[in-house]
Amino acid sequence: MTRTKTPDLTREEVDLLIQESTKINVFGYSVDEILRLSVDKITKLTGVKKSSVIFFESGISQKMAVSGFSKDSLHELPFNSIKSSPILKAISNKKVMMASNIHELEDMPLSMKKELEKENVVSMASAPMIINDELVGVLTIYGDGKNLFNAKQIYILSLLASQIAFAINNQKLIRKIRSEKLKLETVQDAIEDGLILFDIGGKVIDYNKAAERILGMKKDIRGLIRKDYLSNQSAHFNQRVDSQRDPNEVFSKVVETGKTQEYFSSLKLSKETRTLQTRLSPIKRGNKIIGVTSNFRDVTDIENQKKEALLEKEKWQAVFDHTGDGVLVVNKTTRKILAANPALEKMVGYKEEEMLGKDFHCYVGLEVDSKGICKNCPISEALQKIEKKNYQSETIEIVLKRKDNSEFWGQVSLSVLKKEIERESLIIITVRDITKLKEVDQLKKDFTSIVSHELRTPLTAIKGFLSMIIKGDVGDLEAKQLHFLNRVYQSTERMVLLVEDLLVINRIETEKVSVTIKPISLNRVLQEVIDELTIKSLSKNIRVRVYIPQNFSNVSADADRLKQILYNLIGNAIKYSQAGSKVRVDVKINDEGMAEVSIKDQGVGISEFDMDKLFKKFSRIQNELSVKAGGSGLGLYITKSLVETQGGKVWAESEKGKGSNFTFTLPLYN
Amino acid sequence: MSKKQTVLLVEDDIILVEMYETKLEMEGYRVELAHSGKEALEKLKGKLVPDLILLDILMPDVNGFEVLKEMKKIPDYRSIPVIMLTNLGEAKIDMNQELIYALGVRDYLIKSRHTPDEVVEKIRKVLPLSDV
Repeated sequence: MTRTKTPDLTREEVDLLIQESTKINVFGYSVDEILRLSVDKITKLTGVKKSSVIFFESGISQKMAVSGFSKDSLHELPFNSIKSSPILKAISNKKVMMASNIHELEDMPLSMKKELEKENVVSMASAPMIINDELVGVLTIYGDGKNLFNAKQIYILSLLASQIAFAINNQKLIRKIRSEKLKLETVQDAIEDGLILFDIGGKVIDYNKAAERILGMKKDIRGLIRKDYLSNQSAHFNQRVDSQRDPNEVFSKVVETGKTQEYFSSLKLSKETRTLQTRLSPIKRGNKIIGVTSNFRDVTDIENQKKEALLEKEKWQAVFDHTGDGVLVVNKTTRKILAANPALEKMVGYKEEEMLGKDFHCYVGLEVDSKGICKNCPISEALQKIEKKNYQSETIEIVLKRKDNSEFWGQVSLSVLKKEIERESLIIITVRDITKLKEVDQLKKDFTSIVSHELRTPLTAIKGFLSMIIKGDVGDLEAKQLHFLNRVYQSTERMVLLVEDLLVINRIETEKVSVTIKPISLNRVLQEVIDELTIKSLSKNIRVRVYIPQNFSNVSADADRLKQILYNLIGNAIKYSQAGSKVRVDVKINDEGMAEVSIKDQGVGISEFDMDKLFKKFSRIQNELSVKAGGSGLGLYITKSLVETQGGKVWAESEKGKGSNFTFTLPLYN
Repeated sequence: MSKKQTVLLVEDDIILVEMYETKLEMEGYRVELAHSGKEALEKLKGKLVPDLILLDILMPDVNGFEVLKEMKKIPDYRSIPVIMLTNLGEAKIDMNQELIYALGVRDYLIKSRHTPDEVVEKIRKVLPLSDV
């Protein structure tokens, strides 16, 4: 195939050619529109009625436009097999191909030849559409055989083909640019940071929505010089910038050095002041700085949160550092010390640095064997207790040792934190030096102790020696002597009990009564008390029976106090009953969900008159039995105080001569 | 022949000492006396190994608790049963019951509540008679 020579065109023909071909290259046409235009133009310019243009889109699909054929769509003609058509093969040489008689084309399928024949096509000429050296389509004119195509037509064909390719390519490029621009804009608008583009002189070239929002812009600032709007009393912004670093200097530095700089500033808006963090970065082209981007964000909230967190930390640090109790923070699994406060350091004599990361046992004077295990460790036992009973904390009192080997009594509280902190399970150990509390000398000064001790000591001797004499340890006694001595013994016993009661009352009244609430089995305590009262009940031939449901729930109470209460009430029941009668103890759960214990006797009963005074101090009911029974008159007062301390109530029901029913309640342990 | 068991009685009140000593000897125990905590520790460090210790709490100089603590340090003495006697406070003391048990204290008695006979009963519970 030879190269086509440029034919001679008239001036008008050239003008027309230029005019028509540029019409194809109009901004904004879609590929389909371009193709349709193309076939119209080729007909217009060459005079050939039948034409087609095919555009291969990314090698997969193709777009087509047709003119002058009787059928609407070329798809009906076997043009879709065009890729393997000889036309294309020839065209792949990137030259115009002509065939004066299609029937002479060897590789054209017969079916196609027949179809074309129907349309009266005898000859055809195809020009390649090339973009960037790549064939992207074909422009074809079809002749009816009467005239062959002339040179002008061929020239126009090939020119138009390249115009179409050009137009399509342009259109694609424009589309691409647009889409990129849109993407960029979307990103720019989506980001929360403000972005402003400056030239090296500080003139605003562009900015994004976030910048508008953060700075509270009321106008378009493009074209403004940065210096101007950063200064005070800028009408556009109503902002003031207070900064450690002068933002203008920072800007200059960026332009000078080509290095990114950051600074903080405060922005005063109409209603509030915000803190901004700004980063200025140079825009480089090669080594030259052509502009600056300002990337800034409102960090007011973050800064506030930081300040608050710091304050909180300082607060808690102060508590940790200044509390009088020693505090150890220990890793639950490894038992290693994570923190120790100054109070603890003082208590044990070790510095926190010495203790960090080490097993805590050694630093409180608990011995660890060669395997690093502390045997019979009271702390481990307490921890086990916590885990077993699902408490959170436990307090124990143990002897601890200091660095200098001196010892002290420590009240140690162990708290196991339910939540992990930074994946570590923690135990908080609080130690209080209670050596002083333990000092017996302290007790010496305690009035109650002094009194009780001083009263009890001689009573012990009196009671003791008397008992030995009465027993016959130092010789036989005559009946009368024995009788009198027994009287003395009884009176002594009374005094002993009185001292006991006074002691309890004094403690109740000075609130020194200590109550340790634990789950207690009522059944067990009742059994213990009844056993202790056996002598008394047997001597009067009184039977004490307990009626308690099987597996009755534990109560929350202090074991010793509960025993005292029951001892008093059951003891009273026995005391005030006639020989041979019965005392009955009933245990149940009442309507309020509390444990209810009733002690019923068949004794003398209490008159209405005496009921008021029943639980008061020193109220003694004057009756025949009370004289015999003895007692200080403090028992019920003490009982009431003890019951109430444990969260329960006590009351009595009685009828003179018919017996009494004393009931008290206690909370259940759940 | 049954071996006599030795009870170390640590008590500063001389009248009570007389009372308990009389009863204990009557009941067949050999009694060692200490009138103060200091004396008690001296006797213990001097190789005295009693079968049981009756230990008063309130004493001049070294008190009963301190004696206990000191005893704990000597391996031989950790297993000797101790019955604490006192007229101080109540039966329920401010100490960890399990701990004093660990220190060898088997009972804690308020003197005025128990006759000497009852004290002997308590001793027998802790120290069964070693009759061969």
